Amino acid sequence: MKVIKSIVTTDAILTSSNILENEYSTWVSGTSYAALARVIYQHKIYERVVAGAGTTTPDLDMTNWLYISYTNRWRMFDNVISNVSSKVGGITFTLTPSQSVDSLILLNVNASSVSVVMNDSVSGVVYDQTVILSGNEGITDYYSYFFNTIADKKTTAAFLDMPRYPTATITVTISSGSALAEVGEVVYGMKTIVGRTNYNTAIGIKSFSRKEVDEFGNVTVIKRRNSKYCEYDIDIDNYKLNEIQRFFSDIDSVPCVFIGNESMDELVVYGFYSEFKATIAFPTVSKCSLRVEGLI
Amino acid sequence: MAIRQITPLPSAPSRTSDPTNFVNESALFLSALPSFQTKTNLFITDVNLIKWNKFNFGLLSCPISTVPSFPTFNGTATGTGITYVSSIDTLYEALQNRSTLVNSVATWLDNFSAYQGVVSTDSSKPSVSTLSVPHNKSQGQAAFNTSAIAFTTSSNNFINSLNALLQYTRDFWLDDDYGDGTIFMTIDCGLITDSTITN
Repeated sequence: MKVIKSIVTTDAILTSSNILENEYSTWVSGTSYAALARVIYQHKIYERVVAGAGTTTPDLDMTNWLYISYTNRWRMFDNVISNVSSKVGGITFTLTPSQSVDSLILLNVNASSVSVVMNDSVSGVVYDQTVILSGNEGITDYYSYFFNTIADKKTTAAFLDMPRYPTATITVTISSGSALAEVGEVVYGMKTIVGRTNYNTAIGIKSFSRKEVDEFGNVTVIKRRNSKYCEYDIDIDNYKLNEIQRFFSDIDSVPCVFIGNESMDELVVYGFYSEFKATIAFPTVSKCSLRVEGLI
Repeated sequence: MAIRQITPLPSAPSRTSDPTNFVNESALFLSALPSFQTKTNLFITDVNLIKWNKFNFGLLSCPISTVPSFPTFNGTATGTGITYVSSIDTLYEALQNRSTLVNSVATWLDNFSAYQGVVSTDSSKPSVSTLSVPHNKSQGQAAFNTSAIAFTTSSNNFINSLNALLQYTRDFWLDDDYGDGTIFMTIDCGLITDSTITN
């Protein structure tokens, strides 16, 4: 069981991206905007509610401006997994965290492969890995190559073995051939190994859709988004219990990636833990339960 | 007679880099293989019948690097699914790529053979090998796999033997063709660069 505490991405960290941030013009103080006009302010898109001009920034002027979403370039850092950054032909961006990063994970990815290259100014390329997302495990001969259906692709790409080079740049390439590449969230930081995930771990999906039945029995479905949750069953060595407890106190209300097993997408949840409980069951090992509520 | 040219294969399917279009592209690619095999074998027949210019025999100045050798994987290699699939993707991409280059070889050979002369038999001249019958969707799984491996192997042999022909050069003992006895001479088998020489 690993937990990655995410680093907040800033302009200084996202040093390049092939996604342009030009959906709308940048908000200019004092400019008159028509109703429904959209602007960009600090990487977020706002829509004008009532025609007019103002000097209050859109993020503080909720009477006149309605927040829509982050821009396409920044949606992958907005803490909303279902809001994706997208680009036809692939996405490439470079991060300069200026601090040690040993893990990077991409969630809700729609692409064929993801590559991560870590380049240190002194040591050169110190890490270069590619994760193939196509679901081709069942292809064993030419016949299955041609006639097996295209299996569901993996949607998570995890790089958990990156070396620690605080001054390195990290270039991420999300490839999709000539098709549309999408990524919902990019999380990176230092991982903490919490313990060992056990078989009792339970997973689930929380639906926010509404199904209403009228007086005649007709069902109306209002489709909304959903989120994952996971109840991890973990063993923690007793000598680490105090350290782990302090760690969970530290990440309270901080979005993190919880990884029960990196090869199982269903055990990778990005969100907040809602409950951590450890029972000192044996002289050397504690039985722990951890409930994590995923972000939508 | 001009060397008969081939119709290049359509875009190669790729499960790994372009899964969205794989179903359509793989169907088109598979259906194009029989015609590709037929036309390539006609091309090979013509190439094998070429007689070299007796005054300029040897390494062709055709840019041989444009028909690079073929990946050696033929589908019998083992590996995980993704590795295996990537290898087949690479293989078909290479085949499609080579199919677009073969006609440039034919065009060059036509220019060369326009002033060809009759030379003595050269038994050591490499022969270009033909393609076997490709795999097709009407076959069962076992037959399909057998055909696919054989076709891939023959594609490999075809490209490599074509390259061997293009790179072929040797000292050649030439018969006199003026009818007054046999003389022998050593031909410098360098690049063919003289476009004005005639038979």
